[in-house]
Amino acid sequence: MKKNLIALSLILILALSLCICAFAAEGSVEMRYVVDTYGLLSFDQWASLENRAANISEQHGCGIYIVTVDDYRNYGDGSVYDVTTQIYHRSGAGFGMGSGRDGIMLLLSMNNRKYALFVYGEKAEYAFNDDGLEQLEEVFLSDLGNDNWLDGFSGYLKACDQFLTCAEEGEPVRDNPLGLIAIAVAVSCGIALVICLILKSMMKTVHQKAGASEYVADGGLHLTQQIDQYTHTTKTRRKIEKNPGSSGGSHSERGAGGIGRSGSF
Amino acid sequence: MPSQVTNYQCPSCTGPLHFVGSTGKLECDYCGSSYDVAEIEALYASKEEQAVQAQREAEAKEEQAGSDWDFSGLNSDWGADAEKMKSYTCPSCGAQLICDVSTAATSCPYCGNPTIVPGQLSGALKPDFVIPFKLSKEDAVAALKRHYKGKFFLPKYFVSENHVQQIQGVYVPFWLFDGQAQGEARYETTRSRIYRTGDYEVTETDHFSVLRAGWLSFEKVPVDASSKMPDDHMDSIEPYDYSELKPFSTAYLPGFLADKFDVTAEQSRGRADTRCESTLRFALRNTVIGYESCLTLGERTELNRGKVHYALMPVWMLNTKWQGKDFLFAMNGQTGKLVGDLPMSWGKFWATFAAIAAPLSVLSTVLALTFLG
Repeated sequence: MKKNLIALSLILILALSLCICAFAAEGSVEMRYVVDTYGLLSFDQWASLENRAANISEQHGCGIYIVTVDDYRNYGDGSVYDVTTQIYHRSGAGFGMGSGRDGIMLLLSMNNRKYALFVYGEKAEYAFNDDGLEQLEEVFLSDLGNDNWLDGFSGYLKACDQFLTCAEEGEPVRDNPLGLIAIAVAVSCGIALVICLILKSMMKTVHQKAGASEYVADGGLHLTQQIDQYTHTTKTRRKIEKNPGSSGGSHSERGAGGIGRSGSF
Repeated sequence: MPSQVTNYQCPSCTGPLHFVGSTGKLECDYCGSSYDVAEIEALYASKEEQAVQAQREAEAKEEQAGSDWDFSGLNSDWGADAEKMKSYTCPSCGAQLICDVSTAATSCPYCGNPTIVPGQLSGALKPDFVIPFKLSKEDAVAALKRHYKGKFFLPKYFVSENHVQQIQGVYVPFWLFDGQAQGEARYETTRSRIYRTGDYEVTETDHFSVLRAGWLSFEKVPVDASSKMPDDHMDSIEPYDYSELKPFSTAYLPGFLADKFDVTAEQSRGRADTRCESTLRFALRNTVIGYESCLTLGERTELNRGKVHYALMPVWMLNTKWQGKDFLFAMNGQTGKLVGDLPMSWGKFWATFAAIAAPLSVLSTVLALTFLG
């Protein structure tokens, strides 16, 4: 098994190197941040994203990475999150920036439509904590779920830029409790109002009667006809939305010196 | 004009007799004697005949005697009011009293003697049944106090400042309708099942055409026959226990007010019809079970109207006034069920709302931030 993994790792490194070389031959951009081994993007799309990722990474001193593979199980052992951490830490791959090797990696495993986010380094974890990662994936997962790769990756890069900027300004993105508080207060007010209306209804005891059930004689209702006839069947179909937040079972992860999230898209 | 006023007097001491619900007998306030209703009825049947004759003779004598005074300026024409008024003489103190034409039993405001205006309840207007009072004035006052209890939004000063201004036991005239309602109703119903196939959720709905037909018998559906009594109050103190219905006798009336009907059975019929029809529709709808949805497509009902009875039902009416507004309470004189809308303290309403909402908001916020935040 271990031999297998070493062999697969070598295949990945070889594949990445081949890609880098191929793209490098076609254009002047070096593939470092957007590693599209599965081939979701055209050259122009890839080059544009690579440039943006490089700029954002260098500006903030934190690597922003996107990796697409056919099946994550070909590149490591364990869950999609585990494999992402293994790729990030693979010697010679050169992921992470600065002495703390700060960075965030988004890995897409296309054959089983699984994804993982891995955040490593003190600076990166300050910018992308658990709450932040949850908000970050909301930015791009719906696009990825609809196979809208360019918009999904663009959204991811833009959001990473914003998150890092906020962190540098000392106000990292965190869960906004106001929404939760507003819901809690609204529900509490609703419960209080229902109780008060029940108490208020006790003040009014005079009502005109609409029925006469107390005066029914001869043992109640005598049914003379009772027909239940089947007429037809109608069928409606609804496409099940690919919502990773609910159906994909997206969840937080920890391990390999960092934090992250994983799920399906 | 009634020829005579009946005032049941104690055969022993001639004190006024009152019907007492708890014993079911006529009792004398002065000597404490009590008599069965039948006993007094028999005694007074013969007395009444003699009294009618005596009064007629007295009136004739008065007419013959004439007068020295000039009464030409007095106007005996009551106009349209004459149809609504009735005058009689209190047999106890001799006071000349005027009452509403629908009043059948009352008490003299001068001497307090309970009296019955016989013309009001005789012949075609005589009730078939009566349910005698079982509960006393004290029971009514106690029931009103219980009614105030547990009413969270009752203004603090309503109970302390307000006093019951009038408590009156009234025999309220009711029409009791027998009949049968029959009809049919058509419904469209559905039953669904949901399953998943591939990336799709499929909802399969079976549709049914449902027909129900049937009939219901009704016995003595009550509709109050007095325009003075609010219909909603009378409806709200239902039902009465008809097993205690008794053949009518004026002997049950002394001590209480009694009204005769001023809403005819024909005028009341509509309310009884509506109640019977809606009960049948509701009963038919309740037999449609086992479906997820039920839409009524059409209903048809018809009534076989039966016998109409005329009955007097016991009601305690309690009036209070608070901050210039009248509050009326009615209690079923047989079962003790008391109804009456109470004033609202909006200050208490919003204070209670705040007292519940504020701590609940804090608690739910803390819990939400702890477990969901």
